[in-house]
Amino acid sequence: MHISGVLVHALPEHAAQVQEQLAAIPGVEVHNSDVVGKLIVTLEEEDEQATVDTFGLLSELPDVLAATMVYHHFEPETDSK
Amino acid sequence: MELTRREFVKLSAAAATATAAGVTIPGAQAALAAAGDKGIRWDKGVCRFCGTGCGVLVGTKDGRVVATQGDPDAPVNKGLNCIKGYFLSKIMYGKDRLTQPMLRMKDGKFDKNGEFAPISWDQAFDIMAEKCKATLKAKGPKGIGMFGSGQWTVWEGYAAAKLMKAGFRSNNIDPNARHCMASAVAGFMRTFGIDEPMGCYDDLEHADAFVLWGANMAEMHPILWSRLTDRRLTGKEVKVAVLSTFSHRSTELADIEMIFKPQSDLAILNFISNYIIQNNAVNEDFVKKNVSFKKGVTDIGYGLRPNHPLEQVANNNGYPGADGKPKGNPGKADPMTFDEFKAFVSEYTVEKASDISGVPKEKLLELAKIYADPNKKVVSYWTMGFNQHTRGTWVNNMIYNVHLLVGKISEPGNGPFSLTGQPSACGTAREVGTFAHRLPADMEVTNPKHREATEKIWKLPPGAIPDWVGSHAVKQSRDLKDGNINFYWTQSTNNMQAGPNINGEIYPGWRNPANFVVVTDPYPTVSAVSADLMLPAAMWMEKEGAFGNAERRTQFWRQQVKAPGQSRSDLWQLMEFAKRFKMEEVWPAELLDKAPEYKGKTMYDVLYANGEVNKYPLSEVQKVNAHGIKNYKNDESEHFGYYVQKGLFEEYAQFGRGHAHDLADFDSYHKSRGMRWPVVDNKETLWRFREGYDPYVKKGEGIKFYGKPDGKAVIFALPYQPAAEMPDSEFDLWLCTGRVLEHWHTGSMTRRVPELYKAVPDALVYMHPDDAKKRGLKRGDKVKVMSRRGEITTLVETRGRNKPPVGLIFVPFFDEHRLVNKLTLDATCPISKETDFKKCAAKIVKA
Repeated sequence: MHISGVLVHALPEHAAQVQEQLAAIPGVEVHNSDVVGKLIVTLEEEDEQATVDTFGLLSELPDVLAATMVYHHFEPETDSK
Repeated sequence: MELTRREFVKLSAAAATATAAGVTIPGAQAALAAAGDKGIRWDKGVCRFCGTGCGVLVGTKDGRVVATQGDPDAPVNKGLNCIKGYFLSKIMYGKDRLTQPMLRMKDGKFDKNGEFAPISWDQAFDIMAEKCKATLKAKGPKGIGMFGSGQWTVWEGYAAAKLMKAGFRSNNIDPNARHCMASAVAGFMRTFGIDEPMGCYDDLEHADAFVLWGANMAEMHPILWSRLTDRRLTGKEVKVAVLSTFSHRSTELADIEMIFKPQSDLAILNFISNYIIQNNAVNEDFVKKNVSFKKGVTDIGYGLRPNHPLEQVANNNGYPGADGKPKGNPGKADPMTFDEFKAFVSEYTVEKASDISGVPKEKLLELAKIYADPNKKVVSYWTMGFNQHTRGTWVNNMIYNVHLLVGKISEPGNGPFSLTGQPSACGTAREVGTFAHRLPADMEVTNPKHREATEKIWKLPPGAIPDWVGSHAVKQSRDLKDGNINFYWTQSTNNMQAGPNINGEIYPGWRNPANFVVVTDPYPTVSAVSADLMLPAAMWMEKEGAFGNAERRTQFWRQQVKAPGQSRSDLWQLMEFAKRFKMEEVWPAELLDKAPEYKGKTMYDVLYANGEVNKYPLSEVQKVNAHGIKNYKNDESEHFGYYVQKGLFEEYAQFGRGHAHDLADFDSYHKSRGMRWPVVDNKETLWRFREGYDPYVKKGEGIKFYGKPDGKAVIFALPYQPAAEMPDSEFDLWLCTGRVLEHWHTGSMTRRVPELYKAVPDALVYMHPDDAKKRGLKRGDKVKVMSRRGEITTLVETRGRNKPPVGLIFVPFFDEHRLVNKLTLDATCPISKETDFKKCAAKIVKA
């Protein structure tokens, strides 16, 4: 299980549609933040390559101004609790 | 509420991201914690890649770096990380690491045309010393050369400069920073008389407008870009202008996007100066008190070989003329008045600037207004677009002209800021003075007082340091080809891929049978396999290190792991090699007579075991670092028997202390997240030249550009001039080279991280769809890109992140299988000697 935290910047007027596009990508979750235009995104992938690929995908979305990796966690799948 | 492990980790990721972003996620606890990282030892470190200088936390387990993350306590990146930084832990573990010295051999002996075979370190130094001594005997110190790096740690660069300049008495040492920062250096020295930016990254949170001149920060400095984007989105009416010769990721944020014709930035800058003057926006008090005016000589050539037609007709290129005397001096400038400057720029009207640049008049005016508006704080950023330019020094001078005219400089949110591409282009190449013309702390080899001061600190007899300017990067390649340099050693750099005109100038020199070429690198790079001897290098966390970033911040890290096999740091290699020479073999008898105590000693004794460098006992290594790692050791100190890094640093710091380049004491850097020099009374300096911020500006002085004897910065009158090579009917396209986000420079590290390699495996040629169509090409077609100097085969890309206008193509240089520098021209700025990698003429045909 590879889980990353990514900070995504978008113009406030485009934030809603960027959020929609992001959410449509499998493994991507957008968390609510209190500043419009700063999107807190987590990626959930099976391996690092998929993490990079998804990161690349969301960086290239129209109206995404910047996407910056902040946090990455990897651990083998063990339990559910 | 019970969370699953997966949910918990996800929440941690979101919380960490929110913290870094300065936002909160309703309901989320800061469930950070390096949770569950059992048995991992974390320590602070510095990223290995660009000049931003991000702090990273390095996680080590069982003698291996297993994880890295953005350091939340690092003021530069505040926990953020770019995609390359994210994979830092993997750069040391490429499958093809060099682990022992390898020499070209045939029948058990060195043979220039032999195959690489493993040898011992003893054998490696034997053959090196043999070749070096033979060259010294035949040609003297001018026959040897060293090419170093803005990726050298501070002490490596210092040890190398000392070895060459004091030991071998040769100024033929230059760093690869010549290819990236030399124009910025020359610009600073010419305008301010002291190197490096006056401001710092804190400007990112204070400016009302940002102007990017030839810098694609979104890809090349992503962390600074993230901070800039943040300011754009959260500040009131913050504007971003992006000037470039093609559209790229940074232009997506631009309020003003200006795609200009290559080289026309010179005309645009003169237009802005003219606009400021014509619209009475000059800050007259500031200019009267703090600025002088000069007119630079023109007709300075293009840094090509002296027999090139463009140099034959240039009367101020400094090359020997028919009478053997230098033809003028490209850096010469004569005083002029403000009114004369006003008249000089008056011809650069908006019409003329628009004509030359191809940028619509309205956009030019909009940009000029930003600089002219006294109520707007402006930061200008630039990187290779300005520096890699045959008028690179001029264009650096000209952006300062603009900021000086309006007095927008040296205060929070106002200032020109030159970004850097390498982690220690500033800290090592510039501050240590590893350039062919420099000594530490901005001093120069041609200045007798500077040589004297250096000789004193280095405990050398008078006259030890040579007074001649050594060969710069491009000249070194020419010297090798012409057989003038016969012994050559490169460290932490890959010039056979990164240097210009590989086929025409670099490769022939390395394979010249008269020459012996040594490459120190962790990996078998294009350079390493083109050499005669490859030496395996310890890298990054395999040694104790220090880098200096673009905002004057000096940062240290501790050695975390051992290097594989027989790999040794550049520092170890330099110091061990010095043991192979008796002083009698490197200094003439007359000089040695002035220091009889050095007779019979080795270079190692004189340069390193000199009572200063070996001053700090081995026990200090543990003591200084106890707060970071228990029972800490580093390999160089263990080997030489004293705290090598501390000794070198403290000796080096003597140069700058009291001379506006003050560094703090060694120990404190191991505790802090870096400090910005000058550090006086343990306090760093954020904005230089301004009272209240800079300890070198006294009370009541307000502003003082103390790098110049009269305390005034210089505004230069310089014209627009065309590029050295322009598209014509046969080679009908501009070729621009550069980087991509995923790879750093020649890719020697990032291409060995599988995930980054797969993300961007090949260098493509980015071109406009119309240009493709006109040539019967479509996206994905295999093509030959050709210039007068060579050709490469690659695939066409008409979409994606880079969108050139009609008439220009872009090819990145990271790909060792598509060496775009076979195509580039070795034309340089005649003042800075930095190559223009952004402009030459090329054509494309279907392969």
